[in-house]
Amino acid sequence: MSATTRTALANRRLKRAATVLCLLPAVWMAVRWIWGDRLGVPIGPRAVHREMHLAGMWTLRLLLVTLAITPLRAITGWNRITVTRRIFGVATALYGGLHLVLYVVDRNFDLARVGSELIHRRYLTVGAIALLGLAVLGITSTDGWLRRLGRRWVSLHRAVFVIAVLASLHFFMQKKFDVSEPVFYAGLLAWLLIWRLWPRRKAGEVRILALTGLAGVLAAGAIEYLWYAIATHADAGRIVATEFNPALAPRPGAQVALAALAVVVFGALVRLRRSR
Amino acid sequence: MLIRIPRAWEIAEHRATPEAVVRRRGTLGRRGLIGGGLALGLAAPAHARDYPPGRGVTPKSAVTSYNNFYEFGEDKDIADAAQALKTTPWTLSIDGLVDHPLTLDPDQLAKMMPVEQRTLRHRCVEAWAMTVPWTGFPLAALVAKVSPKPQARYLRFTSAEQESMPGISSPLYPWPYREGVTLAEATNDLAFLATGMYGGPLMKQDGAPIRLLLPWKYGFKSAKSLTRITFTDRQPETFWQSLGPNEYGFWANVNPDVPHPRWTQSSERLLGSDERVPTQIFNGYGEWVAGLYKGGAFAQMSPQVLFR
Repeated sequence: MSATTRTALANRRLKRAATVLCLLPAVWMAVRWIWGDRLGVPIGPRAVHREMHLAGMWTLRLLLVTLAITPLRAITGWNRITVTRRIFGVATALYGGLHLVLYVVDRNFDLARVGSELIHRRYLTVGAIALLGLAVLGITSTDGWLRRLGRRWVSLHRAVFVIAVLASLHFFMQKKFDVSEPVFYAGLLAWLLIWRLWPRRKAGEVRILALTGLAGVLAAGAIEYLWYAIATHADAGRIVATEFNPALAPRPGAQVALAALAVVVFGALVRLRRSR
Repeated sequence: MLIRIPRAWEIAEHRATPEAVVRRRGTLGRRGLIGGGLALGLAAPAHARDYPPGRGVTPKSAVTSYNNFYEFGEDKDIADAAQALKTTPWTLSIDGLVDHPLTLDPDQLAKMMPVEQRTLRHRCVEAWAMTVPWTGFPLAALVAKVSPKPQARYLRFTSAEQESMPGISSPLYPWPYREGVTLAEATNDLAFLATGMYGGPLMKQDGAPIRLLLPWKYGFKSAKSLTRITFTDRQPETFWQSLGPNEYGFWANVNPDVPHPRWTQSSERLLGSDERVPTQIFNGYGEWVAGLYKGGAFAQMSPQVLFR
């Protein structure tokens, strides 16, 4: 077997694995919907609404996974991983589409009402713009469009960073009050964005990971403070102070710190192995 | 030409209560008599049929598995966690501006009160709804029992705050849960205190051992697991009001034409059947409660205040 065939085969396996990973949440969502009661994991009343939320969560998670591929390559030097990025990206767009479809189903296919809600509710407008962006990136993700757009393709697909910020904002805005979960994801996103400010050559270094991880934690804290201060009537300072209370379960900023620590340790181990 | 721009809260002509129904309001007089009878300590006849649910009863499994009870977590599936709630012993205190304050066990209280079964619609601010047969007694009967002082204008309800509640450790919320109504609302026959459901005891996830029901208001007004009812002369600040006054106000009367800032309130999803049905003003109880909000300070109140 020639080296090229071997590479092609390995790439195909890698892509297949990524595809399976992307399908797992959808399969689990379907299983819960159909057999959840029997398996002891009931989806409960308002199944469509619940599934819609799950689809939205997976859209954001897969978007972050997509954005994490480049840093992962820089840390590990495993260049082949890049072939999975397109799969994660397209899966993100598909989960986003599912999120919207389930919303329409939950509104009993009342498209006039869906349209007016998308316009009148700011958090839905933000989400709709993000979805529109994902759709454009999804459609133009093919080799054909890559060729056709040439250099402009890269500029167009940089829109993913704006889309990620909008998706994160949409998550914040639909929360009743407690934004712990959105803060955690926003902290991760901030880290992924800040990390990209470094030249690729250096960015895989452990100290850069640690530095940008710390920046992500600080960003999470700042976002948490600003959200509660601006969007709610709560005492934002008091809430952020609870990040340092060891008696509580880790608050979102602390969760980002733990994630950063894990990645730094992982990066250090990889470096250690590669230097041998 | 007369051009009349309908205000946001006005309902379309075809959705108004038919005149024949309104005329039956004559029965209000009778209900007034019942209230008077209660004040005199007379037993009130059961009048469960007075508030026709107009919908099928929601399966109990849905009512006991889909709950907002933030003391036990922010998701809907808190039923298991809620079983940790310690309901015995339990005391409910009625205090503040009353002549005869009370502290007693909810079971004792129910024995003193004219217990009846009422099937009521419950409309959550999140646009879902259920119809539940509750057992309990009108709040008005309790109000009569403790004799409010003339200065008393509001009631503040306080829910339990126990170490058994995982949500209490969340540093975000200003526990305990608090709600409030005006004395006029409290003495409306529709305001209800429930100690049972579906012919059995009140489930913990649904607010055992005693909860409030204000079926013409969004569900968060109907505080669960009450430990204290205080009569005051000032409008009490409520739990959700302190967190998001624009979204969860003091009045929070159901109105399909006044949207929540983040979603429409025009329709609701019924738990169980999963049908989506149009929402009615005052959750369909306008016939009995719309009069509470006529005239005086209400004349100047915007629909965003009265219905949010």
